[in-house]
Amino acid sequence: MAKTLDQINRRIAAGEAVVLTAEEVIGYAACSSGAYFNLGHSKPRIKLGGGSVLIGGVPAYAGLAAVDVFLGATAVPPNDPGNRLHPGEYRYGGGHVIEDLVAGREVRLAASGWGSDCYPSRSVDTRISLRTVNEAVLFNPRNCYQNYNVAVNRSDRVIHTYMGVLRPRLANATYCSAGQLSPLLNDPYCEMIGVGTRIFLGGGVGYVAWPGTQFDPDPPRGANGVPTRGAATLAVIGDLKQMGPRFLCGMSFTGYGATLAVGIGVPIPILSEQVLRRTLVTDAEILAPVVDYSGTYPERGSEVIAEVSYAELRSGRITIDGKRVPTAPLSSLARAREIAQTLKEWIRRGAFELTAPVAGLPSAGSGVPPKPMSEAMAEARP
Amino acid sequence: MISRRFILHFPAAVADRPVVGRLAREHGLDFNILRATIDPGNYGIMLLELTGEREALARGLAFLADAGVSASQLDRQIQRDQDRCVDCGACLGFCPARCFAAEAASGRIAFDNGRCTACGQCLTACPRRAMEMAL
Repeated sequence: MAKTLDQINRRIAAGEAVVLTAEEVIGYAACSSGAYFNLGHSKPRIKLGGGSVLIGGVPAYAGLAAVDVFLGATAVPPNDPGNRLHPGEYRYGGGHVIEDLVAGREVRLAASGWGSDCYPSRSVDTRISLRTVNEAVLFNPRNCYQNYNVAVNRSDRVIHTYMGVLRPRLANATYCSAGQLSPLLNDPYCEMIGVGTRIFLGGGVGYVAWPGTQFDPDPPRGANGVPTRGAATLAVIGDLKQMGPRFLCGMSFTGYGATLAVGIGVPIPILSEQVLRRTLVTDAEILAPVVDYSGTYPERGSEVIAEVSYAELRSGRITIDGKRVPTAPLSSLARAREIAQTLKEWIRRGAFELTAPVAGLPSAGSGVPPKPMSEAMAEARP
Repeated sequence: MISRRFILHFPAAVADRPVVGRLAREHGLDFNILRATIDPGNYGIMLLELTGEREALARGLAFLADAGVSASQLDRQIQRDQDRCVDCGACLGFCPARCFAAEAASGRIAFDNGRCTACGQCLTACPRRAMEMAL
């Protein structure tokens, strides 16, 4: 067994590396995703900072500089009826714009500013594509949740959530982690994955940029060290121009909103028997919390109805309150395997070298658990 | 003996006639009304399952056409846009007719619309908006 990354990379170069595929996943991003663009300068110039920008009809954040804008995956057009026509359909949002762009399509850019001596134009209306913009960078503040809730509905009415449509009285359950295929469940203490780790991202090459938002280094853990709640997360970054619509897909959650599904694969170098043992974790050994999205989740309660294994979830049925409940994934197993195969092929032909993290993610006991919003703010609501 | 599902459109002039009853009595077809609505303009739409001999079914459909009721076979009513589907599986456990199933080997989600009752619940459950209904 190789002991260092250098040895592994030399073997890859020599075509001798053994590449297994169990460590990859298509991340499911009801998480936090978006992309920033430098649009290039118009003639005469315009400063969009402080002004307004619509890309494909979807508002982008312009408060950065003159022509740098950030488009969030959950943004929707200003004229979208939202949930006023309940439940809203959210057919087109920021995630769909990103999918259109990586599919090579042009989208409309309609923007305005106030005009200044150095940036005299006050509006532009044109079309842009990934060929016309300068930089196009996917930057997701939170993806790849290490474990996550199983959502159910104990109430008497249908509810619409980012975990899908949940029928009343525990008629269905949804989950989104890929269990034994999920990268961070194969590295439960984030020892091999860190800032700078090179990854498969959206069909191209990306990097772990930072710990993801809401990172919790100290969740409850099973005897095997694997978190039994949502825990570590990754912020990831990569060149959008390399990516494709097969692994960046706009999603529409009825009654909830639009978002982006992001395909992510993280290679884990097997440097020791301990690392190997941790990557061999199976669905039966990973437990997820079942949470009521009709009460506990919206009210930020802490009740966990039950813990179920990913093996049970994959079987298509779990038992809650003595009732057999059908389960649905939300995270594409077929695409996850496609990512695994693609990344394996890249590594085998030497196109993708493994990297050591340049900085670690928060470790267990580092004392940075996520905090709720201050109670004073929460109580100020009408 | 075959079973087929149809969407029937009843113009206002026919909506109050006992068309389905005659299908059973005169053409020997078993029927199962899966859904039926009449709008305020007296226009009716019915989702109907018919079971019988192939010839009886053909005669029944000819009778419907003569009566002014259009009938289109249902398995072409709900379709999946394969290019949009990402096999996420959000539809699993959602369809009352169990038209969706995860294929263990490939992880892909199979869609069999032969059992579909066109309830439309998959349209709201699918986050890719890959399910389409033509009525």
